Amino acid sequence: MSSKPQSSGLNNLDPNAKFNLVGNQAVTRRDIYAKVTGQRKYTPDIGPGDIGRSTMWYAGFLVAPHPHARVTSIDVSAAQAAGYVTLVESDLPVGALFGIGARAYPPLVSSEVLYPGQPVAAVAAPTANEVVDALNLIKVEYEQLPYVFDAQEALQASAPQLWPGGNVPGGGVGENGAVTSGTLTLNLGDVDTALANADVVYEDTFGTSIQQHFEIFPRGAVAYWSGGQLTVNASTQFAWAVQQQLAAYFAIPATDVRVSTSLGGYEDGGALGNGLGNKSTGEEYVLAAVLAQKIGAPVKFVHTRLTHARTTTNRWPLSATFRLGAMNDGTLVAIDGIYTANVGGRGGAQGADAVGDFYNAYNCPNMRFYSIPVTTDAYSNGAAMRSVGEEQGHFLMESAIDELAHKLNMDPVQFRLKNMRQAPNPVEPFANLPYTTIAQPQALQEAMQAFGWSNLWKGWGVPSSVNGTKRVGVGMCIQNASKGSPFPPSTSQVQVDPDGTVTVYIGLTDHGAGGNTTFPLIASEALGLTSMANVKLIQSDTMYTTNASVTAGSQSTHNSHSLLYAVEDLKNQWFPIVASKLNANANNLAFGNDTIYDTTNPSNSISFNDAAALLTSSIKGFGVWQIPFNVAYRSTGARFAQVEVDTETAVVHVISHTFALGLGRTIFYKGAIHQMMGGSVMGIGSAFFEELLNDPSQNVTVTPGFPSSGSWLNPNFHDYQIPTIYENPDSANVIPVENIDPTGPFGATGIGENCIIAADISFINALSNALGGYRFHKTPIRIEDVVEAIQWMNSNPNGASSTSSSTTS
Amino acid sequence: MTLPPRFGYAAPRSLDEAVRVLQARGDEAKVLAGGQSMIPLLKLRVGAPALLVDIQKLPGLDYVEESGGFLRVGALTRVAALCRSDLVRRKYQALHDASLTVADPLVRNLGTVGGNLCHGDPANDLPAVMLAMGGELVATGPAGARTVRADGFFVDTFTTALARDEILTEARVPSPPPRSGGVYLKVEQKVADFATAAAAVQVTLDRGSGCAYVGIGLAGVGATAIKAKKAEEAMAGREPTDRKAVAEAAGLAAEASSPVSDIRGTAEYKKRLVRLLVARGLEKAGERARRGAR
Ligand SMILES: Cc1cc2nc3c(=O)[nH]c(=O)nc-3n(C[C@H](O)[C@H](O)[C@H](O)COP(=O)(O)OP(=O)(O)OC[C@H]3O[C@@H](n4cnc5c(N)ncnc54)[C@H](O)[C@@H]3O)c2cc1C
Repeated sequence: MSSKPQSSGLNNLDPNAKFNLVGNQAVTRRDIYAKVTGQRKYTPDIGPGDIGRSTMWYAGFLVAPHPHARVTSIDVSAAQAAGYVTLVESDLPVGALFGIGARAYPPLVSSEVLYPGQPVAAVAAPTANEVVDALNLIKVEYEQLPYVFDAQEALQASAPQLWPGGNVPGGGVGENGAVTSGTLTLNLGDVDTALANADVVYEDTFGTSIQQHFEIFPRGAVAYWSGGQLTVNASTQFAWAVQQQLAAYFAIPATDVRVSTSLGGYEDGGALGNGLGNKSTGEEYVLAAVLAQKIGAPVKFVHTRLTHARTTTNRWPLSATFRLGAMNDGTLVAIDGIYTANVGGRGGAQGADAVGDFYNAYNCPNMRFYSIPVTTDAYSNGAAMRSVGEEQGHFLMESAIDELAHKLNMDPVQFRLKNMRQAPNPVEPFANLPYTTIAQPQALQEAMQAFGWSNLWKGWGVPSSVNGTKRVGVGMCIQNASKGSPFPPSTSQVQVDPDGTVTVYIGLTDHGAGGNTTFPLIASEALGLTSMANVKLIQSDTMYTTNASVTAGSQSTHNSHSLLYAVEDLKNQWFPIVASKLNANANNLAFGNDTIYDTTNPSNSISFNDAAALLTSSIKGFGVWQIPFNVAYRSTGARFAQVEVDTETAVVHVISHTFALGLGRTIFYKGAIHQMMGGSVMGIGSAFFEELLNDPSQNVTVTPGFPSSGSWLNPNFHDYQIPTIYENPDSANVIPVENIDPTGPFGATGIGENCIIAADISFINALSNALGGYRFHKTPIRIEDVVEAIQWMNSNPNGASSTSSSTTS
Repeated sequence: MTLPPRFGYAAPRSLDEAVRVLQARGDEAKVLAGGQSMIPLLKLRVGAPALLVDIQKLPGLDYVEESGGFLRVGALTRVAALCRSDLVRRKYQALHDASLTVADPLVRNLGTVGGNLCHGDPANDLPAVMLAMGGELVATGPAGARTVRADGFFVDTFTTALARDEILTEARVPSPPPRSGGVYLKVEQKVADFATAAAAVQVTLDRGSGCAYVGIGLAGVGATAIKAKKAEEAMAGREPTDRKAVAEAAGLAAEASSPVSDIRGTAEYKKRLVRLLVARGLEKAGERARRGAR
């Protein structure tokens, strides 16, 4: 099979093409009723009856309450005496590590705790209620060690060193702030000279906080053995990878391991409960299997909210210090950026993606970026959370760019129009790769007009309206983020049965982004069907499906490109049979409007179902698609927001949001629109609420069984707040911009992550405008930050000229 | 998943029976009403009562009615019923406002007025209203029913004046005379959250436009709901449009509060909110009183 993307035939890239299902606004989510009526079975819902067993054991983690400590003893005897089954690190196979690369780790602490919430022991009990009782019987003694939460502090020589070789893998920052090592990500032109010659130089530092995915269902797995064969029903975004990992861990053939998302099988079995990047792999998937083997019964191991929040991955805090140079006419001439990523106790994350966003978003001849990953005791490990650093990076970038435009006293839209990367011929400057497509400047222009920017923008620090204590400001930003990274081939299958039923097999799952509708939609369109009524979906189950890559990185729609090849393969098997019935040449046949017809004589046709009836058995087409590596996949867009603040109570309210995003071609229309809205609302959380907190006093009192003791302050929905329907903007206008991507099915690109990226900074720039141009430096903006901004505004009636250092040379 | 520990369960069918069960096992038993506070506490394993006495099947404790100069609310009345009551909306505005801000619709559909008051959570909304409106609580125990004034009921965090073998059966507030108005103002980090700070204000105007009655209750800013007595006194005879009087009272209310810094805001910010909300509340309640809302 060719690795070149197909740009004709099945993959219709004509921007004006008419489709049956693609972009059809009437198509609704296939699983919507099952979801809202509670019929879908998520991993936490699985009971013994669902897997044909009569009993099931339930497991949980005992997690370390301290940020940095040595485990001096673990006593599980009382738990064992009470009939519970325990696991500590020494019970696990020697050298069986979990995780990837140099920092692979055992699933349970071996000696040193590196973050609060690291699992120390696991326990299983015959009823779910007893898990906490069992955990309370385990006695662990810790010797507490000096700890460090903050990345800048961890860079000091005096900071506790958490890993052999120091807190910065490969170097750090010297005393005068100069980068001694770290990673030089890009060095283009001559930054120092350009800064020296710039009319305006602006320098500032911005930062973000630890966030938690807090997806609707916590992560977990049900594991059971039948003879030597293992089945794991995991809440996973990547069943295939978990299968490989378990096979390696137990040293058994992968074919003896079946992993599915929830129960697997038909679509109602593949329920994920959202993941946002948190559910690719998990130590409990392995431990559930170990316990199931030990006990000889199925084991369900689902995180509590606390262990989910503190043990699984997080969005990592990223900060950046920028020096930006511009000429008086608004030309951006130099960008110097040092990104510091707080990668947590286990490491994993870094700032490279965010750096990439900056050099992609803006066209500038002189750019230099460093990225420094720093290990701390603040949390587990940084990983994807609806983007891989881009969400944080856009806050940093669009804060700095906005403030530079402010220094130049230039309309922020005009500054972006002048300097952003846009058509024609955009190129990613690091590897010098051409973009597959770009939606700029169209997205920015469309959003600006729909929002009514020219009427609402009154100038820097000048609110668009003031009514008593209420001030309304407007703000905007752009976005340019990577859209997944090229993975090895993605595969899928499409089957047709003699009764006309079509079955789509794909190793992807539905994040909540609508994949359960998008995958069958793409296959159905390629098969010329006008309805998906007879199309079934089997997803994310290694027994039936093959690797289609991880459901992440906004790339599921893109990766379902293989479905077009599967349909092509199906055609090659099916059309010769149909051709003899129609007395036509198989090469001239095509699918169209529920028929197969002769393109040389369209009236010579047969209905899809009659054509299926010609088959004596089901036939299955295999699709393999290799995404090209020599192009840049970027998702681009623009956002505008209107925010109101009460200058007495400091309460902030988002009035409106306008968001235009390039999505190649809209495949599942409602899904795309809802993604764009949902992501924007999630950005309200990022802007104003979300932050996982450690107790700075570390007066850690540990009450057995009381989950809110320990280093953590808010590992629950009560104190870690996320926006709900009430926090939605009063009005939200989302504008899908079609900019055909020749590498995507029907020209689509993915958008899932890009729907949150930059949402927060659009609201924050608007809030800044309402408050005299006060510049916020850290997300989330807490109420005391707003109070401070109001005080600053009241004592600086002339606006923002003194917020931060700026020099004019 | 965190699940509650094992517990015993009783669902008496009469008030007498319920009181008898409590009398017999008061030390190890807890009353269960809508469960919206109780069940989360059990899941967090804060205490492990051996017996839950579910009072939801007790007859005759679900009503909202006006009689004998009071609005009487049965302890098992769901908060949602207050939101829906036209009588409450017209005449007991502070109570109505507050009911609408209690949690979210799911919690309001199950949470009871009795539970909201008996839980003794300083962040709950209804206790502050009871204090502002001069409410009373009827407790029924082995010796029959007794009446406790709201000012005196909220003893400490999670502690009320109820004895272990008593059940709250009714909450009532005096029916306000003409030229009365009330309001409940709440600042919350986001909708459906507990109060960062909140104030209930009830005002009755005399023949001029001075205050004949002022009641001020605060939520979320102390160990219990707080009755801001000095602030109330400072307004006596003065007009709610008198900015100086209002500022003085608002300052006194802030002084009466003792909030703590937490993720919902600093103590200082919460005190400022108290001042603001009491000031805005006095103005708004005065306005409603003048309009003679009925
Ligand atoms: C997510 C969430 C958000 C919330 N937000 C708010 C909010 O914003 N504002 C607010 O005011 N409240 C809020 N609450 C609390 C909720 O309103 C309380 O659950 C409710 O007030 C308690 O009523 P209940 O009937 O559920 O009582 P239960 O939970 O059953 O009982 C609570 C306590 O009262 C005792 N009790 C109950 N009834 C009686 C009685 N008749 N006699 C003696 N003792 C009794 C119980 O023993 C127990 O100690 C929230 C709750 C949740 C879960």
